[in-house]
Amino acid sequence: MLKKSMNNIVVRMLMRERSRTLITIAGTGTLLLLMLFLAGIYEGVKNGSTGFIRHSSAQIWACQKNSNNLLRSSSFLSNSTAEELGAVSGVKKVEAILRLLATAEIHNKNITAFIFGIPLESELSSPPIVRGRPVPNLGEIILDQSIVKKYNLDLGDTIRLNGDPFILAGISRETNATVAQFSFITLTNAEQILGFESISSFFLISVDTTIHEKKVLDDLKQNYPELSFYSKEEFIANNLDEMKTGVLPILWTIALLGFITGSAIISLLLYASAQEHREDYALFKALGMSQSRIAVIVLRQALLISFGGYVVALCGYVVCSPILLAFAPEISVDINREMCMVLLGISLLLGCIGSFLSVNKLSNVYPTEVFRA
Amino acid sequence: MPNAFPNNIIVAHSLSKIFSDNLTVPVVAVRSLDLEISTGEFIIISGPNGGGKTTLLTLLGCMSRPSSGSVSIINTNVLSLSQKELSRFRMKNIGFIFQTFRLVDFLTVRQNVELAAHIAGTTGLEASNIVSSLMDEVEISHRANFYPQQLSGGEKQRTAIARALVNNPAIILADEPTGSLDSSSGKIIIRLLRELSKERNTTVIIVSHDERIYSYADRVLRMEDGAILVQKK
Repeated sequence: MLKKSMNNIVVRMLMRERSRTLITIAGTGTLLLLMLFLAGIYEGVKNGSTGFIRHSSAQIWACQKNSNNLLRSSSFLSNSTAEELGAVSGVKKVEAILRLLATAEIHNKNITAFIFGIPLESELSSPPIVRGRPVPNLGEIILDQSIVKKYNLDLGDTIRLNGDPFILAGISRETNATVAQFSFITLTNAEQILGFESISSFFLISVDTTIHEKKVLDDLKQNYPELSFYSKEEFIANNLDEMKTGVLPILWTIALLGFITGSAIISLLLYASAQEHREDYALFKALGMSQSRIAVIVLRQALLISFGGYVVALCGYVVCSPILLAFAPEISVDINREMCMVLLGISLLLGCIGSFLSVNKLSNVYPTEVFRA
Repeated sequence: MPNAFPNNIIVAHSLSKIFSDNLTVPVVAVRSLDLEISTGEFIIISGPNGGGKTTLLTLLGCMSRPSSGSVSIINTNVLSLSQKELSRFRMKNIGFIFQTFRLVDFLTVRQNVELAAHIAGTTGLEASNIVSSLMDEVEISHRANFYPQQLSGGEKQRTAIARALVNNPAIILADEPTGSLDSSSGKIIIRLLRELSKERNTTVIIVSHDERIYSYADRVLRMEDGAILVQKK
């Protein structure tokens, strides 16, 4: 009953300045939505930059010494080395893939394509597929679904890479790292575009199931010190690290600014309210209400606003994400339940911080103020 | 003649309150005041503006601490209590009535009265029954679900009286309770306070300029320049 009575006071105090409260909730919600989108984009980038590796059945990835990820490190390897690696005890299969950048012409528009050349009938290097073939034939290409959507393409359509026609044979998923969308053609076609033969960027290695993967990895490292070898997990982690150093600081900065702004908005509302209704709080104190209970009233107001903002953010996401993806399909946004729970925690923290100033202000309200006419 | 008020509920000795902020000349609001008030007494404190009446009320109401002197209320040395203990003491033992009513405008009459009960920890059916009974007593039940802005001045003050009584305090302090009322409403309110005081044996201390109500008092204290000059029975 006491709780109900206090809730009653909290809600009524907020609703006394309905417009201001609703604007604050909307403002807080918008900032939380921004944070949700940033987190979603980061998750999307994470998944998009590692989906190809995760989907591959290769347990070991090899590249040039000091090279460690798909996106932002150079790696040039001789194809003959792949044959040598295939002969190492415990190695079941080795596939060479070639990474290159090329100009793709789609509907008379030129874009820079991030291309992987993979072997014909590849077993280790096919990307996760939405529709079509998982491994391209000569003259065929697999594109990420965001490119397909953005340019309104369909299986069988033709695009040009460095002037040569390629037929869209497959549509992949989890191959959109936002900063680059992966495309897949045959290794032969990739070599033709590059203008060199017998060169690869990475070797994908599968291990015989009867032999321990770690032992094979150690043997490869020991016998081929001029190369870098990574377990699948290490290679995924390397790519994530690359994303973290490249993308995360920007996202963190924006999210932090959003958090500070959100706290300031809530603080402003509650501070103004505390200032305007100082006499009500003085009355509460005169009636014997303790400072801690007054702090709880303010905190509840703040939490109610921030929770309202959280609900607005979730609803905003449901409404805005299809619109965003319609305009910019290359932006990959992945939201999951954990992220929503973290955002709830952030919004409640926002409320706690936002209430601090007002609670402090109200500690200086004295019950004698009720005697002022 | 037997003493009608055998027990002192409030005893103040050499009570002083000086306001000073280091920038302006200190103001002595209450000056070495000695005061004894008995249980069930109905007292009016009169005097000019700035005479220290309201400051005395805040001292007796445990809302502020004196600069010097001692105050004992219900045999408790209130100066020895912490801020939190003072709040609790005030909540349990003292009810307040203000000139401008000080009702919470977003709560109904019933909720305003319940608020004081809830703050004191009385909740549920018990609080509801007490509030209903009090609203009957002060004849405001028919406005239970009205908001303060829908009430007349007299009705607002009745609500304030019910709120002041809800925790069954031993003392009620009223600051100009008739100040915002017309003459007839003012008299009705004072009569009501007087009746409740006698029925409940509650000590009532009223600060007022309104000479028309002095006749209801057991004692009228005149305060000027922070000191009690005259006491009339």
